[in-house]
Amino acid sequence: MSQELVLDVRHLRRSFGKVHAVQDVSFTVRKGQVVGFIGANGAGKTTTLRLLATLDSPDAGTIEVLGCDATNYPEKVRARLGWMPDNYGTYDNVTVAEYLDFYARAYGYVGAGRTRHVDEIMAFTELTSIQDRLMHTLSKGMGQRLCLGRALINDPELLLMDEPAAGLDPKARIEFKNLVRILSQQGKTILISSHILSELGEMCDTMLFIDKGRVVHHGSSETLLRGDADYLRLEIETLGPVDRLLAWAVLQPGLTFVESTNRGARFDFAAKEQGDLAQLLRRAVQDGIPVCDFHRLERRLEDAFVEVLKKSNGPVPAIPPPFKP
Amino acid sequence: MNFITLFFSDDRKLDDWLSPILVKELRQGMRARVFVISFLLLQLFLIVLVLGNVAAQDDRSTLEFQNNFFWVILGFALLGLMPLRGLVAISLEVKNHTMETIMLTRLTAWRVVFGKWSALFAQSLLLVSAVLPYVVLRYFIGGDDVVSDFEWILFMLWMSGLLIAACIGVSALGNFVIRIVILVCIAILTLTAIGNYESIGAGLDNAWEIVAWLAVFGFFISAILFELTATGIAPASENHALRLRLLALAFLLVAWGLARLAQSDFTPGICIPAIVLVAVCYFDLAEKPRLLPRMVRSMAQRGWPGKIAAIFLLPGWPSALLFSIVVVPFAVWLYCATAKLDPDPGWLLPLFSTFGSIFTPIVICHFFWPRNKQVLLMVFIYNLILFGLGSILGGFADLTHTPMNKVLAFLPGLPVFFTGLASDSTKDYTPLCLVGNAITLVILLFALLVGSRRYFRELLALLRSAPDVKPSPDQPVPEAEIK
Repeated sequence: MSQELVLDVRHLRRSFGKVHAVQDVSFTVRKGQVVGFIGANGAGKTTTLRLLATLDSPDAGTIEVLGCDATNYPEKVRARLGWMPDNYGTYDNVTVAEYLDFYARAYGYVGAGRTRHVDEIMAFTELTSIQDRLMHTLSKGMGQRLCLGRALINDPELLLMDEPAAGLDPKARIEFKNLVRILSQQGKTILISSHILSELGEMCDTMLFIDKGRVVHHGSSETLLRGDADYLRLEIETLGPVDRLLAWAVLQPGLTFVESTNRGARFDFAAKEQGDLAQLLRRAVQDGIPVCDFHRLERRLEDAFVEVLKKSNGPVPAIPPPFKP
Repeated sequence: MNFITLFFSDDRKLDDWLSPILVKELRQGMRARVFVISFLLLQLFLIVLVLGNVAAQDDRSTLEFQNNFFWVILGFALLGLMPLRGLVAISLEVKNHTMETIMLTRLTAWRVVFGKWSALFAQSLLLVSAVLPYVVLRYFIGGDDVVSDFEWILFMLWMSGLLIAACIGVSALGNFVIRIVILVCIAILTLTAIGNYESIGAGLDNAWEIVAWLAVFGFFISAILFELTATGIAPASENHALRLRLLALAFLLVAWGLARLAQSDFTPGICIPAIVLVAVCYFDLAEKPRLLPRMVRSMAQRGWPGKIAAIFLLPGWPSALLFSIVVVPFAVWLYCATAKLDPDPGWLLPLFSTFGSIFTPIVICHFFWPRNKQVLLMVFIYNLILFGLGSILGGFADLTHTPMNKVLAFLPGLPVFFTGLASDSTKDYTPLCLVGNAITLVILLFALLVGSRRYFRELLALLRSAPDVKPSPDQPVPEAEIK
């Protein structure tokens, strides 16, 4: 991955009246990275993305896209970025091909070169077969592909996507993920916002968590999943009554009850090494607990996110009501 | 290289020379049900009309009725249907979130607005071209004056273009009341402009004077309306205040030039651009200031004219304030000079009142209600209240012969309405209102100038620090410069 900075955001602030949508957001993105921009509804994702896309101006702070100041030279920045909003607008009486043709014209493509470019975009986003369909008759998945096609029409170096997979069926999501993967392989830098973490886990190199307009974590999904927790989560199931398992667990050092399941319970276990885990299982068998399942639980991204929030805010905050800028 | 290779080289086609918006809008518009149905209905109606003309060839009154009906239908299509489609041209794009994606392309706000207008006007032209064969046919059947018909059709096209511009012009404004107010004002101005046919008809004998006046009026009003719309959708980095103010000023100067050239009394012709200039001041004074270093820098690099322009022509009320202080008296002076009016202190009253009616709501909004986003609406409401108050006081003063205005003479803007409505000839309210308004105006101006001190301090600092060489866009801008 290149070390070239594509995005350099410093101390970004944006308020709407009393609502501080973005408060002191700073981060950098390098060329070729796929960055997941995650936060609850109203956390400030869309506002930040709109600022990056030069659709809004910050109250304070600087945005540099490929070394170019976005506030003072928006037209230079716009030429090098692609914007995919969460709700793309449709036109009545315009076909898929005409829609892309219009944007190609608007970006300065002319003549046969334009037609060729539009054809390439339609082929990439698998829209060729529906190029003569009126765009207001498209399904959500087709519409998102069209929107992606439109965002790619100027061959942008930076692609900003706001909730691109929201409302898509599983098949369309997989198709969309594949497109993102190909774009990433082509060397495009991509910033994808979502409030569904599982959606981004597989796609992104790094995650940028935002809450109440502040960045609360910036790192890879692996580091987030690993976290800095000093315990493992275990699930133990028994054949007999669960009460016996719970009574046994109270006596075990380092084992803390978390929650009951149908046939057992989940625990946090302060293990220093893998051997501690083997020893715990041996003890359970020796003490006559009829263990039928004993496994370590993988930490979910959602849990990791909640933990990050806990650390940054104390108790988990209630999700603020969404605001409309 | 011949003409053909010049325009069609580089594998460009004819439509590559058209605005992308025009191409899109035409594709969209020609498929729109409103256009298709109105086009087909017009054709059907014209066929019926021609057949009717043939049947009633000897009946003069039926022919006349059919003739009137023809103009009503054509007028409805050109002056009703087509402009009304412009009323949602921009607002629909904003509502559907398509305007943002358009603004991210190379298209500027002005090109988008002009493209929208061109598309609707092209459709008006298409309707007219469909009507032309019938006009010729009517000449052969009914013996109508085909030249006069063509003149009328051209005039209707002019009106259609102007009305489309007006409807597109207000379509970017969020507030419905403001949209209606502006449309009504434009209608009044247009009627006045056309009315000048009659009122200055004594002087405007020459056809060129009429054509020149209509061309100047149509061009400037449309261009100002396009700028007004572009202001609503353009990013903050595009300085539309500069073009809007310069256009309004140019309108006044061109109208004045026309007055000098024309042999007729052109006083109303000066009055209209003066009103437009004041309206532009209203609009710009309602705008919040935003100092973009890049904008100031690019102006400063043009030497002292650029620096002066930065003081008077940047977006926001502080620079609009200075602009108003300079150009409004100039407009009034130009009007008085053209109308050959004797210098009279009484003329200061409308000037003070105009300033007062602009500045009072601006002071209220910017200093006491800064969160209010509908400053323009406040200006309108304030003047509406004054109009109501002026009407009541005018009527009351007439009835009771009591000088009710002693206290209210200090209320800026009131005398404009009051003195016009009070027909009591026994009392001259002018000196009292003049003094009252002058005092209030000084206070208002003082408040506005004090309020804009920080803005001008920052502007001057930027102007002083502007480098002589234009900085590269890739050069990072110091953080402190981003306000």
